[in-house]
Amino acid sequence: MTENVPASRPPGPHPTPEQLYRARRGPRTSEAERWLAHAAACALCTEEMLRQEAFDAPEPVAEDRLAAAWKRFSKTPAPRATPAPLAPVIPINRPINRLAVVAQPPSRPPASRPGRAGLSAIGWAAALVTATVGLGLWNHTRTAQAPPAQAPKAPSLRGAAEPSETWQPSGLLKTAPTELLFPASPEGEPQRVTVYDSSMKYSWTSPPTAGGRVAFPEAERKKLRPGVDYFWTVIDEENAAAPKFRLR
Amino acid sequence: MPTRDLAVVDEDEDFHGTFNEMFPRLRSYFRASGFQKADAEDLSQTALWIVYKSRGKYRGEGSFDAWVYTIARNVARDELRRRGRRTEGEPVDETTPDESPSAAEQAADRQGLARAAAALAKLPTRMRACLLLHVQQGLSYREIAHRLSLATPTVKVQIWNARRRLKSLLSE
Repeated sequence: MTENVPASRPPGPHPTPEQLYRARRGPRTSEAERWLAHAAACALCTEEMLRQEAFDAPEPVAEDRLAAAWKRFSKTPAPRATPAPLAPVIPINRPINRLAVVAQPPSRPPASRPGRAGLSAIGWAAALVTATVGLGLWNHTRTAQAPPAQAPKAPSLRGAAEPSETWQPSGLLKTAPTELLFPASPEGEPQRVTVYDSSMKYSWTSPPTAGGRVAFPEAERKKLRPGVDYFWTVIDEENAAAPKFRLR
Repeated sequence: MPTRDLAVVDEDEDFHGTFNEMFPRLRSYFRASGFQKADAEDLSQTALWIVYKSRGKYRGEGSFDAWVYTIARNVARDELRRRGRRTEGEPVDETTPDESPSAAEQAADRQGLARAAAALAKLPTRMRACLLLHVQQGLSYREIAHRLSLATPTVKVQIWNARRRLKSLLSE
């Protein structure tokens, strides 16, 4: 059957997409008829018509997806002269997951001998411990008698609600990051990450990737400048955090 | 990445309506242009941002749809160029000069061509696009599938059906 199909495109010039659009949607003038006749036997013009038809009669988009798209559209960061700090700058040699340990008071008491105030504090602490233990014992006895209650399920947290160590890098870095870590999509869907500076002069968007990990290419690493804050986030992910990092 | 003023976009309820109307159409357009789903959504966002930013430039001459379509086409073209893809599949930018071999050959073919064109015009656009891209452009099923965001078996079926229907139309 291929012999019935014109092997070359029909003679005459191609219409512009605008001419084709008007021919399809506007009044049936002789010019419109001419363009449509041409398009009927022309691969490229038929392809253009196919795109126009897709534009005119789109597949429906689910309400929630449309709402998410609007949210994303209206939340894409605007350039600011001085961006508001999103998180304290943390030295890279102090991993975030160890910050809590560092921030806690030392577990051992100071070597010096406590004074009167210290003794008073120890007394209060002892009373507090006794009260806590007593309350715990009472509660344990009470729950042992009661029918077993189902433990409340921890809400599944995603994006910004995730512990901060799942979003790496963040803070002050010695060198440009080689990869970006973030909470993977539970559905295993590919995600894309964008890195940008506050002026939006620099931006990079990753290819779709799954597994909550994306490599930051060497070429992009070279573009980062010391002393500039770079923000990054996962595109199209509700509640996505937007950590920032800076090179020394 | 486009930049935008959050407050203005949030408060612009009119544009929210435009967004809801145009986002599916743009996404569908970019999908039909061979972009993956995620890319199609990104490009729709970009196109809508351009629409939003330059909506003051739309003077009401001609259709708003056509104006948005032109923006979408430019966004698609820029993205294809950025990716360094061959430009063969890009939307036609302007009237292209005739490249047919000769007037004599054209004259000889004209009658058959007109008949074939009339039959082709009766085929659904997608079916015709698959067939013509295969026959005229010499694209493989896989290339057509990639270009039109279709599955390869779908392209095969479309071409098979197109040939069958064309045969029937031409024998009438």
